[in-house]
Amino acid sequence: MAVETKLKPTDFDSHFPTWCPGCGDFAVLLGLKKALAELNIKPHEVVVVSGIGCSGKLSDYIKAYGFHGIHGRTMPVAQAIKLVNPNLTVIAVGGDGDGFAIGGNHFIHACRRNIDITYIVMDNQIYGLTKGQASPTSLIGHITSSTPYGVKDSPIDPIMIALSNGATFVARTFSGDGAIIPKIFIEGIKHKGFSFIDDISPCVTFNRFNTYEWYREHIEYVDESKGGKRDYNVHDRLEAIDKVKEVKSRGKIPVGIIFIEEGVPSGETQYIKDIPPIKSSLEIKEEYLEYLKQFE
Amino acid sequence: MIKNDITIRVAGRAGDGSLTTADILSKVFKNLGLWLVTYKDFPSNIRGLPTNITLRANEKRIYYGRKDKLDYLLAFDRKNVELHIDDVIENGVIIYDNSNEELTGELIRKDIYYYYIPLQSIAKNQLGLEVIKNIISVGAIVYLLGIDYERAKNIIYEHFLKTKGQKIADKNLEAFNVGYNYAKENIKKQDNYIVEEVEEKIRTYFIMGNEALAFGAIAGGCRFYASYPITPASEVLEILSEELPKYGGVVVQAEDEIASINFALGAGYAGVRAMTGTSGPGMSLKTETLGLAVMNETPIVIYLSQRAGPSTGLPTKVEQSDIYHAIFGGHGDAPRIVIAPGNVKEMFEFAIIAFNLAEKYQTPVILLADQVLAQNKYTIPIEEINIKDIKIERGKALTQEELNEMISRGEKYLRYKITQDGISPRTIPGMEGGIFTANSNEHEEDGYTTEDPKKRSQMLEKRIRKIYQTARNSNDLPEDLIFGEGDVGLIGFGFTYGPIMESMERLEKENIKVKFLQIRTLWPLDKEKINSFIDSCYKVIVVEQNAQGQFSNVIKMNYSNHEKIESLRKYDGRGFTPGDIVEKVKEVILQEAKEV
Repeated sequence: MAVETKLKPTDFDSHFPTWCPGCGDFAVLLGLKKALAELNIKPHEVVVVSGIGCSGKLSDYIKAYGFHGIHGRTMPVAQAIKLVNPNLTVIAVGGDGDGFAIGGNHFIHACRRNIDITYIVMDNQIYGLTKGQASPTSLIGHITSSTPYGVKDSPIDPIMIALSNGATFVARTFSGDGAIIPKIFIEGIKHKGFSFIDDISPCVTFNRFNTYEWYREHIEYVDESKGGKRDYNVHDRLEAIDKVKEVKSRGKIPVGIIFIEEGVPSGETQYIKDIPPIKSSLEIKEEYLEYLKQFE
Repeated sequence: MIKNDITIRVAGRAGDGSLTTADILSKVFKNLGLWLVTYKDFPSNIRGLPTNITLRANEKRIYYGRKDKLDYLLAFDRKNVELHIDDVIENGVIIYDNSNEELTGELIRKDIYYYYIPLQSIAKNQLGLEVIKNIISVGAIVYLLGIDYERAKNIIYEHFLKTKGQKIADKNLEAFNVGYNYAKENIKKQDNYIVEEVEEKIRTYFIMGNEALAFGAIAGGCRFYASYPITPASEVLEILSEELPKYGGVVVQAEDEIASINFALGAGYAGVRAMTGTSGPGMSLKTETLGLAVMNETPIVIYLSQRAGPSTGLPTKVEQSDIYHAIFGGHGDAPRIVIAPGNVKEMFEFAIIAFNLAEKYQTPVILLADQVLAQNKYTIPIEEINIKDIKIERGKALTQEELNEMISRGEKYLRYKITQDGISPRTIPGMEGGIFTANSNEHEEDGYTTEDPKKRSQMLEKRIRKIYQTARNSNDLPEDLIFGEGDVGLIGFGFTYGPIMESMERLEKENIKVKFLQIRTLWPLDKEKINSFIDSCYKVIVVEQNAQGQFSNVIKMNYSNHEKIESLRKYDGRGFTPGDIVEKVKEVILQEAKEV
């Protein structure tokens, strides 16, 4: 019997990305390849569902089954794949516009369904592929091509949305800290339930305000990832919410694994009765005719 | 005497129990061996607004619940007499609940019979339960139609015993008796209608279109359904939520219409037969994803149960005004298949066919029905719901073994391989060696994004070819059917099958010969068949429940002599009556006579 060799990140290599040099999305792509290799999940057992935008191109750049859908709709597609075939590792990727603007509704409902998928948002606080318009996470006052007088709406806080709607794994990574990313991705993928990871992925071309330097000054790890210290119970949803509020109150951005809830049955186990749809027979049983008797 | 041919309308306010009245009566009629059809005409409202249901019973097979005139009207209040009095036929009957006010003035017609029963007062005073007034009315109708008392009593009692338990069954039986006896003692029957047991009874189901469709879907291998509640498609969500898990399927009530089609598409991509269901407003929201399914060639069935639009429109009323949307809706060149069942048997059958088409042609298939078909009940001989001969056809879906063999031959697996028939071999996630991206961007044969002009053209042509050539030239699409003969032709689809067939019977009695082309595949059209049908007619009348003549315009795209094509349209939220069609045919024939 052949000994299975451990997978390497390069086993997931596909086409080379067309992202701008320095784009934060590279760190996510590499982090994902490293995490999958580390977990020894074979490329054909992985589905990457991607949205529209620069980040949505990721499915083209990784060797795995891909579903490059339409703008904002990664969540329902990804959840359905897991519901049909729970043996697959399902990763959804997209940007802040895709996930929090046009797809915002689906994000909330994915949190409450808690289906075992991992959702990684490459959040750069701008629309990149359409060349620099404001996004739902752009800060108030940010002057962009679509907000010449500055952004007027207060930004969405995706971490708070996830925490308040039942997500059972909530984390934030920073593309400037590439070494930490795979570790957190691994935890997210291993977690049984809906894992949400908001990656700060600076746009080097269209966001001249929220730069790597700016983020370095503003992020604050809430865990031990980078010399930080965990000073609250990561398994307590309310403590996690308080922690996020506290960090934000100091003008900082909380980073690291923010919340993990274990022991909640993941959504697909609630939807699937005995066997998953992919294994169910297409033939129908005798009971079918029995059921029709009520109409006689 | 008029025996075993009756149309009864039960009209009250939402909450009066009109539906239950018709339901109980239908059980009695069905037991006597009659064919039945309903026509529901209810408001988008839970309590208070006028609502009605029409029940037709006949000893011959009938396909449609709306007749030109009513034989019996049961009205729970004065308003409902006002609304429906003009629909009552000469020598017909109005049974009126005069608990609160008497009928006066124009509401007294000399040519019909009135039976007054203070239903509400009796229910309140004698039975102490106002809501039971509808069962009292059932008792009265059973007496008036001369139906065997014991027979009816047992059917009603057993029904309530089975569904509601002894206590409620006893109460309802009491109400039934009170109504029966009230009529016996106080009403002198003057009308001519009677209902008797049919001599040669056959076994039938009395089933709603949406029920037949849901079971057809299960029989056709559907193992994933995602939907958002909307009239007139919600019953499918409700039934499948209960039934599909028994067959290893999953149902998701999604957060919105867009989510529900994306759920279904994700499931189709992952390898199961998946469906979403909706009506017009939901279809508008789903249409972008329909285009995605065309682009990434993923099988999906979309059940579109039409209602009157645009916008919210008349949410509970019938229309066939989503023709343009179903066949052309969306951006880009996005060919799809649209099939349209015309009766309850086809609601069942087409649900099965739709999944085979979706997988064989790797395409979205729209199963286009309407409120009349979807929400009314029809009797159907049990052998017409046939699950023995179902063939599941998955087209070019590869097994792991086939894929391994392909790879061992040195062939590179290409999900979107350009082929002569336009259909490519298909893998699903989890298959080793079958990796591809299902891409919403234009893509190469392996699914990778491309903007190369040549590749783009080839890929688009492939998607067009598989629908307009391969599918169209196959025997897989439901064939359009021709009924009758004559030199005036009727063209219709969907629920108009019912009134058209009935109009033909009536015309035949007057020696007027017409033929009928029932379009069962709305897209891609069988142009040859349609054109030769029109060629063989002096004139054709396209019967369609919309204002713009959407379907006649589609036909005119392919037929140059537009003079030959007339369209009969209706768009008031109420389905055609057979009489509407008879009248139009006569008008066309009269015109023909003048011209000759």
